[in-house]
Amino acid sequence: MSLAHATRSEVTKQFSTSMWWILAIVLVAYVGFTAAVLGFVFAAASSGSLPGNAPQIPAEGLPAILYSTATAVGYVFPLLIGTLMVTTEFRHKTLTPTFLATPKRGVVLWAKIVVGIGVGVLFGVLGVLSSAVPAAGLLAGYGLGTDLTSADTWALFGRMILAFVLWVLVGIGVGALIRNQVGAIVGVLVFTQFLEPVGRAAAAFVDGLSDVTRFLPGAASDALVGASVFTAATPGGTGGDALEWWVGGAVLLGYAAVFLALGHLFSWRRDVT
Amino acid sequence: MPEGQVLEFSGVTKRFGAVTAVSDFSARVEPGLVTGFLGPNGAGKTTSLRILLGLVRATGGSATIGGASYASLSHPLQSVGAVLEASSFHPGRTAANHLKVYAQAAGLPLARVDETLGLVGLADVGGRKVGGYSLGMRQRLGLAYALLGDPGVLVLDEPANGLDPEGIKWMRGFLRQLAREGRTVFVSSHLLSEVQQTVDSVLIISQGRLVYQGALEDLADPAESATIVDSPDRAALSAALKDAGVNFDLLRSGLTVRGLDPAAVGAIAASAGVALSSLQRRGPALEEVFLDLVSGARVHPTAVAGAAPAVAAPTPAMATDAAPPAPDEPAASAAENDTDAEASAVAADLDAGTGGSPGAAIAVGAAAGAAAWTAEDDESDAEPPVDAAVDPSPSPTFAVASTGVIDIIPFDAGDPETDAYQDGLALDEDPDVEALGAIDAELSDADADADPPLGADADPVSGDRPWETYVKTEADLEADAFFASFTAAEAAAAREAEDAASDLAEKEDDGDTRAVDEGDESR
Repeated sequence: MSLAHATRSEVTKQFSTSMWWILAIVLVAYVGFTAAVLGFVFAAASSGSLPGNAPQIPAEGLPAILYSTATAVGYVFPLLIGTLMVTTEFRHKTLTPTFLATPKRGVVLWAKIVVGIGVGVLFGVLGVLSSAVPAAGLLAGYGLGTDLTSADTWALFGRMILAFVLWVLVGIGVGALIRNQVGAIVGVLVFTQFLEPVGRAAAAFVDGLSDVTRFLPGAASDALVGASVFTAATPGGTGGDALEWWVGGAVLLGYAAVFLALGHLFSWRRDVT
Repeated sequence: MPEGQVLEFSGVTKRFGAVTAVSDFSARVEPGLVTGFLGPNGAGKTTSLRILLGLVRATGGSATIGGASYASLSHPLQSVGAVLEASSFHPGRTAANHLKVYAQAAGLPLARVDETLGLVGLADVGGRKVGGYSLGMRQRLGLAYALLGDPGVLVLDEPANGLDPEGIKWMRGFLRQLAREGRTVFVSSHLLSEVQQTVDSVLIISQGRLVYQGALEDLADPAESATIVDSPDRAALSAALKDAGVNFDLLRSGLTVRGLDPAAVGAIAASAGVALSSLQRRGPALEEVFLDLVSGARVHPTAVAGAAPAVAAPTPAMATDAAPPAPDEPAASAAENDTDAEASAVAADLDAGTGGSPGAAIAVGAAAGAAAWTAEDDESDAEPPVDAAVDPSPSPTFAVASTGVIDIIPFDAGDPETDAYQDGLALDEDPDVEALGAIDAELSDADADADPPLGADADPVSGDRPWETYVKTEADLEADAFFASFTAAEAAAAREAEDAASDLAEKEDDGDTRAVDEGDESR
């Protein structure tokens, strides 16, 4: 009852400011552009249309790599929107009226999780569309198979959307734990855009490091989706190192759960001044 | 019609690390009244309110609304409306959406959004983003949020901040209206004058402690009011009053008579054929009492449960600046009283800022002086009788009332008022006070030593310029120096004041101490 009210309130909260559609536009533009560029390069290289002695890329598996651009490079968007869902409340001190209206703080956090799942699905669909449409168009244009009739491809799309949802939940946990909005955003960007890619790249050259790095959230996300331009482009980054897709999903869910629990314990229940 | 609930704080304590924001705060807020929650900035008002609303967890004690904690209310927004700060909005959300968010959270019909926007006068701008709102509009929106659930209890933290005079007037009327409907209205403010016209009852908090609880009109003891009378022919007036057996004190602004109302004093003057130039009743200024309570210079019995009789029935003399120690914590009292001079120093700074004249600074400095004076008197109590200590020469002793009226206690030892006063002190046998007395007496002595007595005249200070005589504190010296830096004229005044202090020092040698509060100057 109360959770239903709180959830309705969170939905209004989420969609009554411009943040969600600004992030959505940036997501679509960024993922769409990246998928188009990669699609052009890969498809051209695979079909031998590129001049010179460009290495031939096998056409097999190419659609999955291109379609998964949304999660491979775009997972920062669901992560950001999840983080912002919480830190905005700290930043604008709206936690005061929120907790006055719903004094049971756990209910507020659960409502955010429920809304976060919805937002994750929405962003996931947008992400899948913005990577699959240009990629499929280019593949078809170069006369390569798009695999759109394959059940595996649709399963891939489903796992991508699941990954988006989990990333939103991780973001909510991060936001609950790191109350400072600027700090949380900077932390998220530094980790996802710099630390983890560097770590995963290093793992290709250091023996045993990949045992650790495959449990990083980005790697777990790629494992869940099952395809990534990142793992495809990293020599030795594919194959037996990657986790099973469901293990990857569980690891990502674990990150979300741990951050949410820590955030609830150490930050969410604190005094609101 | 929603019913007001009783708000109850019982032993609420909140510590932030080493800082104690609220200390053993117990109070009750009744429905049907506007209750003011007063205290200086940082006194713990906001923290107390946030504890009441479940936003801040108390270190000890509990705060309840109608007997239940906020978190256990089944319909919080329908029970309690709160306005806590003017900035709890997302600037990119429209006012209507802001209210919609919380109406949904509370399960309220969305029609309430437009209703409350209309109530606070924001109906036309509800579709605009809050980022474009003025501070006053944000305050109104905050109030609209509080009214969403049509609650029986309203808690407002500094609601007048950012409102223009028209808005403040509107807010006052609005709060009064809500209280008339039987709701509980609890409004915090750091300005007494801001709520003076609105509230029926006040809680005053200072440094996290309750220092007063009760009706605003009871804040000032009516016994402290006096009749001020003046005549072009003061000698005749004095004679007439003396003949009528009325005790009076001579002031710069006239004669002050206690215990008689203006009509009686006027009748005496008329029967003696004395023409009056002024006749007025003066009560103690609430603001002054408020500041005294806040600075700890005055302790009100309502703040101290189980107060000793001496405190419970304060005589006018007891209500002077010597803070009677709270009986329930004798250990702390000595330390607290030690800070008297410091508190006065702060007060001096403050008033010097507003008064802008050396006189003002001098006047307030007397608060510390008064403490010294009372302490000395305590000593006299303990050792030689006061009668013996009083110099037989016709030099009056000055007393300070928080009315700002300077009372010159007649040197006639048989005077009933003096006796009453000494009785009041005699009741106070707390050893800590005597210890304080010794300390303060030492301080006074040190002052006296610092200003070696000049060969100044030992004449009694003329009765109508008593503010030139006072016990100098460090604060006075600082204030003097401060003002001396401005103009030569003011420097001269400061020198004059120092001379006066030297006079005093000499008189102290006679065992006769004076402290004067010239409240008139500071007004």
